[in-house]
Order: sequence, then structure tokens, then C-alpha cells
Amino acid sequence: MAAETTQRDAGQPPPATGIPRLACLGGLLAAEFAWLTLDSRARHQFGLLARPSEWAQVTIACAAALVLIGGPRLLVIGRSIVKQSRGHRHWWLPLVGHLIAFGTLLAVLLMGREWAATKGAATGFEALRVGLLLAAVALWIAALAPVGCWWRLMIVEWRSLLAGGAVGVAAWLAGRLTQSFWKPLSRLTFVVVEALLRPIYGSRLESDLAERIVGTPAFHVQIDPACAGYEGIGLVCVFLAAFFWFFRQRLRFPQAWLLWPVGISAIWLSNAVRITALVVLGASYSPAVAMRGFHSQAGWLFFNLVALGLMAAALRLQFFNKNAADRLSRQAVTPAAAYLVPLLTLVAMNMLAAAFSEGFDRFYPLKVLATAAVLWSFRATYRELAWSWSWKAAGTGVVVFVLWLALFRAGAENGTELHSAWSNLSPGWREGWLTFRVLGSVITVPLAEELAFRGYLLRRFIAIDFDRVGYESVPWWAVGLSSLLFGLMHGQWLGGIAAGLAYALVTRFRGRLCDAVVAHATTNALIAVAVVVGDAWWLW
Amino acid sequence: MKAILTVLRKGLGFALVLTALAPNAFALFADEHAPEIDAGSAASALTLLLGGAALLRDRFRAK
Repeated sequence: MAAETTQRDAGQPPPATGIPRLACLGGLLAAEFAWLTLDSRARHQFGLLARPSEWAQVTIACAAALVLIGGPRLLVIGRSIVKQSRGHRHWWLPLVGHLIAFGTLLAVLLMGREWAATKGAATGFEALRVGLLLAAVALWIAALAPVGCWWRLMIVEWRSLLAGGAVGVAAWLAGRLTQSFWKPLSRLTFVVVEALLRPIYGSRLESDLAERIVGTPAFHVQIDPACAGYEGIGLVCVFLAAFFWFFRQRLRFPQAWLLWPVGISAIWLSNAVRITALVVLGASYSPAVAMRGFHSQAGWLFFNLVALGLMAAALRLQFFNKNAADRLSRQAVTPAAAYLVPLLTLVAMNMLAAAFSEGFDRFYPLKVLATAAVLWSFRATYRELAWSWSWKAAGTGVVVFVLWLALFRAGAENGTELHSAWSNLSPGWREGWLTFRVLGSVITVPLAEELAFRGYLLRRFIAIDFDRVGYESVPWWAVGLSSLLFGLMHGQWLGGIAAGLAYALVTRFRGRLCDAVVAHATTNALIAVAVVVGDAWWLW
Repeated sequence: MKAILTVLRKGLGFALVLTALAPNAFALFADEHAPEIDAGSAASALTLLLGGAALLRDRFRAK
């Protein structure tokens, strides 16, 4: 049988795998997505941060439900599409149509809105935008596989499609329904905030229940539905659902269900405390710090405290955790701690500093000192990491710096605010801040980030005992996934992903984490030189 | 590899649901009001949360 197959194959050209075409279409989609996200004018109208319209929400919800419902068969369906698309000879025709539709969409996005506004044709503009987008998507799909293939798929999978659509619409409607719960909750939150503030400000406290306004003559806030505590409750529910699922073997049910009311009450109460602290900070310290810093950071900080507190309690207490070995095997210092705690300290200090700042990061030296102290406390673990200098790693750092410079030159005007805030510091403090900023950028940040992303995450994808995995043996998908997460953590996601890939590859090349640290430190050192010597403050 | 794909699929589905419901369930886009949860700080906050959860999991890991 094998001999027959070999003879037949020898007489015919091997069948096309379709992989280059799929890669080409995938690359095109990624480039278009990047364009819509990175171009400031297009992003303003179409980007991830633009408010999605109702139809877009329903579409995304239906797609999500479809992915979840049809999940077990997705791989089979994907393989079937790839197989059937191998004979798709005229795929370039819909591709050309897709390029024309996308190009027209871009032109409309970049130039059309002002024109439509002046002509009073806003509705027509929206219809044109949606129509072009749908055409571009449909033509891309037609280039991926023949239309007949998609039609057959719809006939076979009609139940999943119908169920996905129904669940998606139901989820969207449920989201709409929750809007009606916001008002009563904001009233309750208002009552608690007022009760907490009364002992502090006494007769100076001003409150208006009808308008939900509370504060002092100098500073007051309005508790609108978005501040009522619903967002935190939603996040805690999502967190607990994920926690219950991943730890279902260890948790004792039904006792663990008690964590729901405990968590919801704790996060709602913490939101009332957050608003109280906001008023105190604004009335007694600085309204600018309260509004520009504390307001946007405190919600996340409280959420982290509540979520991690619930998790720690559930794993620690016998009432919730049925696995006695878990509780007894607690270790004071775990391998993961040495790799993760420096970054977590840095991130927590970042958030705390931002909460008590009004834009300019005046507490930067504290972040450097705190991270350095944590790194010092784990020095025994780091001694085992075979530290050595590598010119290849340093060269990689230079390449990343050049790439970073090329990618973000467009944002050169953004550094003026930071530079002017720094210039306003007193002379001694100005030099001190700059010294700590450079030291943090070149030493503590590369160490903390590389330990977490390359030292821990890159290998943790492979095994729970990550410290036993050699860097040379990590697969490519782990390199890509860890770099993706590294990029998403940074504001400049595209440059972050590219930098993450470069640092992961240099680590994999010699199998040493120190190479990633050297490369990262080199990039950051060059950025620091560009800022200090070249006045390129936009790079920070 | 299959396990990774399963996790990715569930993560994608979950992320899509959140994206769809975000404007309703979370006031992420209310720029003028500075909501309880600020989307701009999400990356740092989620890093802290997932890192903290990984630490706790490691600390209470059965031998």
C-alpha cells in the first residue's frame, strides 16, 4: 500500500497545502487590524477604544456564543475548511475586491465624516461605513475558502449557528437589563458614603440624595450609576466563577458558594470606602490628585485586594479547602515568588504612585527603592542564574531600540507634558528624580520584567515545575504567547510584542535568562540616553 | 497542545462576551465621569491579579 502511494505521488505534483495563501490572508488581516488600531484618525472612529454600536455588540456576543457552543468541533471545522480551500484557484478575485472595499473604507473613515457632517448626511455616512466593513469581511471570507464551502458549513452547523445567535442576543439583552439595576444601588451607596463622611466633616458635609451629590463646599462628587459599585461586583463574580472552575477539585462545596455573597458585599463596601476616601482626599489634600489619580486607580486596587483576599481565604481555611495537603504544604518562599514578586511589587507601586499623583510620577524613586529591596531579598535564588555578559544580547537590545524609535516617532509631541512637569521640580529634586528614573529604567525594570516574563511565564506554559524547564526547550508557541502578553502589558502593544519576541529569542538561543536582561537593559539604557542627551522625552 | 487550544478557545469566548457586554456591564467608555473601574489601568491591574493568583496557587500547591 505504501509502495503504491509512493509510485502515484512520484508521477504527480504534490497537492498544494494552501498554507502560504492562508498565511498571506492572515497577515493581511493582522496588518489591516494594526492600521485601524494604530492610525490615530482611523482609531478615533473605528478602533478598539471607540464605543461599539449596538449591532456590533450583538455580532460580537453571537460570535462569542458560537465559539463556546461549537467549541468541541472547532478544530474539525477548521481542518475541513483548510482541506476544502486547497482547490480554491480563483481566491485572488475576492481578495482584490476585499482590498478595494478596505481601501474605500479607510478613505471614508479618514475623510468622510467631516464631509458628511457639513452636508448633513451623518446617517448615510454610517450606513456606508457599515456596508463597506461588511463587504470587506465577506470578501476576505470568500478569499479564504470557496463560497460553496461556507454554504455547506452553514447547512451542517445550522443548530450551532442558531443557538449561538440566540444565546448572543440573550446575553446582549441581559446586559441591557442590568442597566435598570444601577439606580437603586447608587442610592444605597450614597447612604453609606454619607454615613462614613458625617463623622469626619460634621456640619460641613453637604449632601443631596436626589442628585446623589455628597462632599464639602470645597470638593464634592456625584455618585452616578457607573460609580455605584456594579463594575466591581461584575468583576468579582467573573473572578469567582473562574476560581471555582480552576480549583473545583480542591474546594469544598456547597461551603464555597458562600464566597459569592461575601465577595459581592466586600467589593460593594470597598467601593463606598473608595468614594469616601476620594472625597476626603479631594476636600483635605488636592482635588486634582483625587480626580486625576485616585479615582481611576483605587477601584482596581480594591478589586485586587478583595479578589486575592477571597482566594487566599478559600485556600487557607479548612472550611473551604478540602485538600489538607494544600494547607499543610504551604511554603514560605516558593520558586515562583522569586520570579514574580519583583514585577508585582513594581506594578503595585506603579498603581499606588498613580493614585496619589496628578499626572507627573513624582514618586518614581520609591518604586525603584521598593523593587530593588525585593530583588535584594531574593538574591540567593538569583545567584544560581549563571550571570554573564553577551555581545549578541546587547546587539539585540540595540535592534529593539531602533525598532522602538521607528515605531513611536509619530508620538514625539507627547513628551512635552512630562518634560515641563519635570522642569518645574526644585533643582536638587530634579536631578535626583532623573537619576532614579534612569536607574529604574536600566536596572530594576529589566530585571523585574525579564524574571517574570522570560524566567517564569515562558517556562510556566510548559510545566508547573517551571524552574526545571531549560530555556532551549521552550516551544515557539510559548515564545509567541509570552511575548503577546508582554506586549499587551505595555501601552505600546506592537513595539512591546516585538521587544518581547526579541528578548525571548535571545534567551532561547543560549538558554540563559541573563541574555534577556542584558538585551532589555541595553534597550532601556539607549532610551534613557536619548531622553537625557537627545531631549526625546516622548520615549518615556 | 489540545489543552492549550481548549484554554485559548475558552479565553477567546470569554473575552468576546466581555467585549460585547462591556458598555453595559462596565462603564468603560464614560470618559467624562471617571468610572469605578478605569479601562486605562486594566493591563496593570490584571497583571497584578493574575500574578497574585499564580503566587497563591504556587504557595498552596499540593506536594
